Amino acid sequence: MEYKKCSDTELVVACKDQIRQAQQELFARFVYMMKGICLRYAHDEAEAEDILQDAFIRIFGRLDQFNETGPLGAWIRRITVNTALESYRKRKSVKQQLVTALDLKDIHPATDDGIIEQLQAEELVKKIQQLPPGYRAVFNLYAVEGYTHPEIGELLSISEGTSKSQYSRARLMLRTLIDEESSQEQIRLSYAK
Amino acid sequence: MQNNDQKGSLKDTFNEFGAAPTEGLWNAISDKLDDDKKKRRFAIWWWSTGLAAVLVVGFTVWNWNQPTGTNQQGNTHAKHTITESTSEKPVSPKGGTLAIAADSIASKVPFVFTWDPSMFPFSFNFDPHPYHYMSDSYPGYYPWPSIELPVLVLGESNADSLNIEKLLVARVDSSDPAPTDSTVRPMEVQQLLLSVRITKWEVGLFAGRSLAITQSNPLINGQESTTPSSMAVNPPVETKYSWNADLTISKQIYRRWWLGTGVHFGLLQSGTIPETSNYKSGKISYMSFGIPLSLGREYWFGGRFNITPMVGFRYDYAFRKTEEYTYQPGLASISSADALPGYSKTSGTAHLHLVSAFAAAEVKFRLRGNWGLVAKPMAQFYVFGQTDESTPNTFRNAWVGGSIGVTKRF
Repeated sequence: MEYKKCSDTELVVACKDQIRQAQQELFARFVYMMKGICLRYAHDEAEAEDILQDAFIRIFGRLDQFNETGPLGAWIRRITVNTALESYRKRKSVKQQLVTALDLKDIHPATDDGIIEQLQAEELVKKIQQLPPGYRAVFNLYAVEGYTHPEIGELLSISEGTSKSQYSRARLMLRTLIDEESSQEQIRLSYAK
Repeated sequence: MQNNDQKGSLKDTFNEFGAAPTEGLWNAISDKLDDDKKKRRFAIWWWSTGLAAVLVVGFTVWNWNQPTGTNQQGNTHAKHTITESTSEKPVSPKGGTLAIAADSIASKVPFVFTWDPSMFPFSFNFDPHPYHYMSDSYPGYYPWPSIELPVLVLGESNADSLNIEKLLVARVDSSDPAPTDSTVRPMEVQQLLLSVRITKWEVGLFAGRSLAITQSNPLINGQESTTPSSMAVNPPVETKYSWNADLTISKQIYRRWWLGTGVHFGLLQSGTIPETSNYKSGKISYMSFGIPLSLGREYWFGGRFNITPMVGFRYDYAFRKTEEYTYQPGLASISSADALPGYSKTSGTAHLHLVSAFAAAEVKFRLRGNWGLVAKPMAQFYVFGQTDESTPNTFRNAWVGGSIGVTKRF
């Protein structure tokens, strides 16, 4: 059977029957979007692929729970984000928290003039990947996924205040990273002249 | 508000953002899905096996606790068989006409699932001979033959009932309906009871060698002396090799636990007693007879190997013969066939009673016909000893050695 022409609903039904071609079609339909999410939550591409793989396994294992009241894409997106957060929780350690605290000292106060929003997605993802895991998770959840701080606090087992401060610091750190790169670019251009 | 705008803006930025997967990702996911499917199947298998086991155990326990009326009806049966047949038929609460000991026990042992180690954990075998279920550690190892039993028919005279030929003919005769509800199977009862009480026996014959380490000190005024002079009288530590032959008899007492005993014969002939200021040389011979008592548990590995670690005690009676050559100044001029010049030969005998503790392990390879080939490393330590030798000594012994042998189960 040709599954490329199937609707999402039909595809889900076939996937529930463990039909491998249907699963492959579902993979093909959503992998591009899902990898985008994973890249934002991961430190690098390898980690993103790990999360992506886990997310797909989870999706295929939990298709029974998809109640078809909403679009399949949104459900898959939520599963992917949750898988990424679970990966973050697994990796979260004291060492990472210390790194986060140390990194704070290096952040120079900068005016948030919306320069982050002016970046292309690809460039911004590279900057986000340089954030400490905690900042990265809070930034993604708040700025991209649209979660509120109380919801983030619940998701990451942190207080609402911590979520807010982490988000602010994440923005500042992103801004610093962008500034550093632009200044380096200017230096490189001046040398080129 | 700025943040809200930023949120919206970033959401739009990433709305269409995505990336192509690396090659092989789908294959990796597909493989993992296959693995998960296998794991799920395995889990289902385990759950169903566990459920089946619970049901079997539950049913057995439930059935065991069912009142069968054995006691009351047994008396009735005795009365019934002694007297001539009457129209009165005892009624079993299970629906038959008579509840007897055989029915009672058979109902308690409806079926037995046995584990085959060679197939573990993927197979459970139905045991067609449940009579040895309490005694066999390894089903199929020595299965009892199925029991073909004559049937005692009730309702006839006692003398007739014991006429086996007649009974067999009666059973074959199709016109006579099989008296399933009014039969007793006395031999079956006996066999069933025996199977519960009598377990397996194993006899082994071993030969081995041990390194015996002995330390002895003289007792002076009842106190153990370790002074240099006393050490000179008795060599402090000796090591000797001894030979041993053992006949072992083991009995399975509960599932995989075995109680062992037997007869031990040991032979030790020392090389040379270390030369001291008093001793020139000497020779000590021991001959010992012992009775061990051990407790072991067997562990199966695959279908052929098993290891039975065991601990125990052994009592030994030892006969010791000593030949010592002691330096005697002034004897150098005496020529004797028995004594070296300058040394006098003294011979002595002593009787010893020793109790030692040992730890051993029988590493067994099962052969055909209930035979086993066994290697048995062993370590043994002196616990208690008594000797009648003229010069009282304390002695401590330890043996480290091993035997090889064959065993046969019955």
